[in-house]
Amino acid sequence: MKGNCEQLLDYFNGTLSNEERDQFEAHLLSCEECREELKELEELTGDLPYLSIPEEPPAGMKERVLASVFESDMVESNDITNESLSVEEKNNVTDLQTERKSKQKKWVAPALAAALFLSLAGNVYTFVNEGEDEATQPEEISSLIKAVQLQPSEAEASAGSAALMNEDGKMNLVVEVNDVAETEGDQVYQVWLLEDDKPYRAGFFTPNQEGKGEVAYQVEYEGEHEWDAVAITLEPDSKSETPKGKIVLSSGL
Amino acid sequence: MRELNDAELYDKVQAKDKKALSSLYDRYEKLLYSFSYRIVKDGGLAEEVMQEVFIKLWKGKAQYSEEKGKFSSWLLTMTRHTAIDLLRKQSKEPDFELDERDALHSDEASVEDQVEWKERGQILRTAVSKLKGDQKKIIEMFYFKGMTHKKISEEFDLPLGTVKGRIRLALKHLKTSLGEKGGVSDERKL
Repeated sequence: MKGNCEQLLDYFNGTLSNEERDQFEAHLLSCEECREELKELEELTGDLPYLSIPEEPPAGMKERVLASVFESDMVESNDITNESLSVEEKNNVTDLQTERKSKQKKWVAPALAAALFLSLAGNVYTFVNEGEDEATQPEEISSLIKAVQLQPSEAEASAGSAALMNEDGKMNLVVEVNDVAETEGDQVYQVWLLEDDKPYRAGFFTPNQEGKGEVAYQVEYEGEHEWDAVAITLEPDSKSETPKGKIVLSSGL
Repeated sequence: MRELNDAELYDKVQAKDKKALSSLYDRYEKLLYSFSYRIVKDGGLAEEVMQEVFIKLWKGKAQYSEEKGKFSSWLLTMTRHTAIDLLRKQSKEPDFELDERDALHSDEASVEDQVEWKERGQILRTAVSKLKGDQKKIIEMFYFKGMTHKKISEEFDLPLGTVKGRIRLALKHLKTSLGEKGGVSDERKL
């Protein structure tokens, strides 16, 4: 596991990608040496913030900062037409899904799409400036690039949706599905992004007992890509580099 | 009425209590701002760091729990990560410069600062001033600039495998030197 141990410094500095960070955290569980080194780093650096020379905060910063914090909530609510569904917590979204799930299947997909959109809207925030030099405070936006309904392959009763979104220049793919068959053993549902029929791995999940699954994946393939489609297949394990199973759900992008 | 401690305030913030956020803000404004400033070296950017940090707190995007240690340490780490992230996004290659002010006294800084911070800071600065140039530099690049493992190895012309050891050594020297001065971090634990 040498490779992982080498990431300790970057993990400590928070410069790993989300995926790398998750992997490293998993690694930490099994590597006592890294755990100890990390602890030591934390102890050795614990005082360093106090090296900072006390700076006088600029006048009115508190008002500006708190205003932008509370405005970030407002921005959310404005984005959401239905106030009663305003994304207080993800729990609401989950409740919504559970409530609707047992009913007719036809309703599932739109409900999911709505839920997905809500949970995405929750991630969208804009810093609104108040009379500050805008050059120093660029807008921070995560934007929805595309959201699609996933279509089940023949004879499948599944439904789902996928959304590509841009967050600080990084692309994330968020997928949610409903009513997919249970997996067995090491099986996982693998999500793929397709470009010119070439599949790229884009996260995997195993559904819960109710047949629901979701995954958010940070798309980090080098170079420019024009994704044509998103597809989900059932794979024997999470290691498939190319799809081995048949497509369960898919959609063009 | 007893003042709420940090963790209690944090819990209230999670329940969307605006007053609690405001109290936490007051408690940490100066420390976090100064720390952010120390990293990004620009007032406007430091304020942006503050915004992001408090938005993360408010929206629960960064989750604190007691097993993560002291709230203040967690908050400082979160601030450091946010500041480093912003530096990277600015992508003006954080051109490295020793912060000479670390080696100087800062008596001109506002008088009513938390005494503890001031004392701790002075002891730290004295200890830093005793480090060798390269050791100061590696702490600066690693901790305050958040440079990657790889970048540091290039900058110092060190094999990847020895970077960690060098950083550790520099930090340990600093700690030893602090120990001679009466050990700030030991006091802190009281």
